[in-house]
Amino acid sequence: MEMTITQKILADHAGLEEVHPGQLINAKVDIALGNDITAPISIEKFREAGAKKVFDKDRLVLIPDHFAPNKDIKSAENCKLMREFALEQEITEYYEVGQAGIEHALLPEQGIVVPGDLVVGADSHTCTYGALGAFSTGVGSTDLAAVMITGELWFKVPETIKLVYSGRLNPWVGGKDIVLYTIGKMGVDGALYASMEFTS
Amino acid sequence: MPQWSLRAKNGIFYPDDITEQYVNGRAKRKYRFYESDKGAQYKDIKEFDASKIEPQVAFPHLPSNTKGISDVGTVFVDQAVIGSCTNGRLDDLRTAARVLKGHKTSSNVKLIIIPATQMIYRQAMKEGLFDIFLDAGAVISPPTCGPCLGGYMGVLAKGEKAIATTNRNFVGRMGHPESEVYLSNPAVAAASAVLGRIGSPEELGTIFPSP
Repeated sequence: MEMTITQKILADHAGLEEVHPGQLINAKVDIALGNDITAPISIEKFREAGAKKVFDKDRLVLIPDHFAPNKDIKSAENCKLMREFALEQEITEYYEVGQAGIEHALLPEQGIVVPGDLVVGADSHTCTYGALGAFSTGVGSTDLAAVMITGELWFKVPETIKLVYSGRLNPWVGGKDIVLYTIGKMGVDGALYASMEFTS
Repeated sequence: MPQWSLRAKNGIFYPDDITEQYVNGRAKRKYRFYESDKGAQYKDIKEFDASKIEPQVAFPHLPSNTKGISDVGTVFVDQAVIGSCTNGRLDDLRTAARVLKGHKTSSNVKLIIIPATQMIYRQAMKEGLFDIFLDAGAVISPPTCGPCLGGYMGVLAKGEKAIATTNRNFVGRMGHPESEVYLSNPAVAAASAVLGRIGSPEELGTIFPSP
């Protein structure tokens, strides 16, 4: 069966020869991401489930970026909770303020996410790593908790919409304009549960 | 790229030579380049002529509420934010600096620039971009998502309007429910900070560098 890039990555991570849209699969996760807003909830659920150790201390990435440096007492408590968990679990990819940055710029920059990966993050902009040719998607904090324990997550294989761009860009036009234009044409739910494959 | 804005599951590009240059030397694990098969099945194929696209501005309160910069009309702004996971990278800061060089931010506008990581921060400083930003009257924030989601480092008051390179412009996203967020690229956000209203770098006479 001929497959899209998204199907191929999902199939390989599920240990299957092929996958088709709509199929429910269980797949291994290469990198799981949480931040100072979402990870504290995942950590709470991790503990509630009676888990003791994360699936892989090198593959759970924890970044204080949303309200760090701490904006108020609540954010300070959240950052502290995440920091203590990172220390306890000996998390390799924990970046303290001073080394940290906005997660979706930091992970590619530090070579933490790479082409061909399957990445989930408890943040809706986790889809960013698609720019590297990775399958990457946002999940809820409780989904992240499940990944923290098992290193796996279930997925429904999406259909794919292919977007083909031709022609030279005008002055001062960049990726942001292309995507805003595309959203304007397709609407905010124009690709509901689909994979968007950007090509030229 | 904010694929979530179309409620997509994911967005993806085929890795190429540029990807190889980027990841080679920084990747912490082995990587693999995938591509779609020629006969792969698609739900839909959409074609766009990119040469017809001008700089875009998404009006409140949805990212899909877009207009080309020439159709924006007069929209005065109180704040400009250049940063976030969408546009806080080195290229974005270089673009902003190109537009801001030799200009002052309008007295009505607070310009907040947020390099996305410490590495970007240091490199921008080394390249002299900070001098351009400071001369223009900008404030430079440490890396944080801060104002994008109305957290801090630039929360809007009732009635205030911001042009921002962030990714969402829902009601109250950057502060008060009666504030407004307009989304754009870094060049437009920088030009707007100088003009005091949403506008194009061309209005400042800034020439786009030929490749």
